[in-house]
Amino acid sequence: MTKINFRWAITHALDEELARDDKVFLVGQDVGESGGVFGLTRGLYEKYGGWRVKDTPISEEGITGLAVGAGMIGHRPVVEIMYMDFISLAIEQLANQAAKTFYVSGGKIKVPMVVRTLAGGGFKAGIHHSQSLESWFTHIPGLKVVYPSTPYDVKGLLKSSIRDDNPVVFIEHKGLFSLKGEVPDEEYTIPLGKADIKREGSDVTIISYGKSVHQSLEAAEALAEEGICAEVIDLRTLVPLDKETILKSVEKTNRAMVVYEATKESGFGAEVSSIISEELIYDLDAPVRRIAGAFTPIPLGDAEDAHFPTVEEIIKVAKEMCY
Amino acid sequence: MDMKEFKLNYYEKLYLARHFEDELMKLFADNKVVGWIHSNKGHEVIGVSLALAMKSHDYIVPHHRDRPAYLAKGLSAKSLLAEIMGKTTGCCGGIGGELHIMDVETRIYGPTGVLGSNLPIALGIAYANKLAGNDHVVVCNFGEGGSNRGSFHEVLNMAALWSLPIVFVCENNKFVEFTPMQKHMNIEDVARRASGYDIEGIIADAFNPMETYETFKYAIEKARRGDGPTLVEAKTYRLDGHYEGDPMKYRDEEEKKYWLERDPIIGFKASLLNESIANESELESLEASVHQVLKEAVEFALKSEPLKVSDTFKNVYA
Ligand SMILES: Cc1ncc(C[n+]2csc(CCOP(=O)(O)OP(=O)(O)O)c2C)c(N)n1
Repeated sequence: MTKINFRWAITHALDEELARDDKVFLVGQDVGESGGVFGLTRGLYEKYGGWRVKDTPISEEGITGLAVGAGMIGHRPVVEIMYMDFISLAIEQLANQAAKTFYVSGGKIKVPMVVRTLAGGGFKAGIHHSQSLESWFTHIPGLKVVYPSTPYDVKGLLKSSIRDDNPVVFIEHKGLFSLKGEVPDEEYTIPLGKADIKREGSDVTIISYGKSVHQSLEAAEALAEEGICAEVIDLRTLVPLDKETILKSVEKTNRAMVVYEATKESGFGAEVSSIISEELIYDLDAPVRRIAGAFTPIPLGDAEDAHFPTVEEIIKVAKEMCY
Repeated sequence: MDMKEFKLNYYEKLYLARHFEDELMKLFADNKVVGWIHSNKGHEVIGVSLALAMKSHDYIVPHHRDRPAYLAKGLSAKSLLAEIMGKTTGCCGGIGGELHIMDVETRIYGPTGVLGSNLPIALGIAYANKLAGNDHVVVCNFGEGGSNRGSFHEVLNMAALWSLPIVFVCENNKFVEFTPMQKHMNIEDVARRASGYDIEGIIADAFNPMETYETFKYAIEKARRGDGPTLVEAKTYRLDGHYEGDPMKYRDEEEKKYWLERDPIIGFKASLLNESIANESELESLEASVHQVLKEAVEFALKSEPLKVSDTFKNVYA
């Protein structure tokens, strides 16, 4: 085991997959010689050359479609969309082309490809550099959606995503880049579709993903001191969703809340909450609660802190549910 | 292949494309087709000459009027017709339909329901081929209407920048759905857009079979040599409506008459006779064999099983 930060876990995953399979290649703005806006592809251009680590023009739809086409004939492209806010431009290729090709070809043409994209707040940069737009994609049959929270998870899940035969939207929270964590020295992968119980508990289940997992863990720590034992589930993959882990936990705790950064309304929490209601409504001791981003564009500067879920809110709601 | 053989093959494929449409329209009128059909009458020379100029390992990323290319590239009339009719024996198992014909064997890739979205896909196939270091060429088709998409700009820019092995084919049939193209764009020649990317833009008269073939041959071989992309604008005229059932209130009948008189399939046949490349009876037997192929295709498609509802839950994920 070595302690590395989230950012390097991404770089190592890319490096290992580029080395393992010559069908893997990277495209995106500044991913090449300059090593990426966040340094995530540093050193890869020198190692694998300009065709496998390709700098592209500002053409989000074009490069996402490039990945669709290359994937169709057996390559494993990895696209970087620098900020998830720009993924609006790539939706056509993801939702209408990548997601539907295997289906509409009668199961004959696969589209293995990954779109890595940087989401979430932390930079306090406002409306166009802060959003988490996962639910645009969890709504589309044919796409997989991954949103990891630790260096260990991001590395193992990115490697699995690159090896997966389906289009994967892989979301990296910018606020996690300097987070340090243990990562095995030997090769490993983490299967898509498996949630991870990051803390065990018996009184309330906090279901989360991405950066919010860490706030949930912090809240759970504080709640423990007050005698509330919270279980924290990190979904890690939103599609496919590990319903089993969610339901098993809520069967035990009889209380559930979902914590996420994206706009609460029609966000992924609504899906999780509905599943719990559909399956376990008579077991619940309290209504399922959602703690998520406000229904406004993301404000600039420190106002961002109030927009996103806070540890205090999680504690407050957990107490309301448990007393 | 000598010239006689080449031209007879060309004519046979044109004739097949044209009469496939006739059969399709009859089936459509008979309510045997699911969805719409977009006639390609007037476009036959483009698809057939492309297929003749391509090698079997070359890719086509078509648009919605490219049935002539599918057939000429080797997709069987049976498989194509069954697919359009939503039958399990179709090339996509009956789930694709008219707008989403794909076939790995003949290298037809990319659904065509969203116009202009095929350009980035074609770019990706060309990129992958360049990466693999092979000599496979990608042909990407679209209409003059589709060329107004932002994807056109993004893709031509990148294809030019990286000198990718790709040929862009604009099938300019003068109409964008129910609107003449002049209402959508200031230029008359889409080929002029090539200069914005510093690539070659060439116009071909798609009512002239040999000229169109030579132009495509040139552009495809140029791409194969590694000399980068070309934008070929094939000028044609949509002889039918936008789709079957279009009342075509917007059509200038004089204009249509002018183009009908130059119908390339009739003209090509006449040239085969005039130049003594073939005689009447040779052509008659060739035409009869095409009708036989079509008859068998129609019978095959009609008696094939339609897609079952249970099949529609398959293949969401690989
Ligand atoms: C992105 C998109 N917008 C609109 C349509 C609806 N539509 C289908 S065919 C068509 C006209 C296309 O004109 P052109 O690209 O010139 O091709 P043509 O049909 O003339 O061959 C339109 C607008 C569509 N399928 N996709």
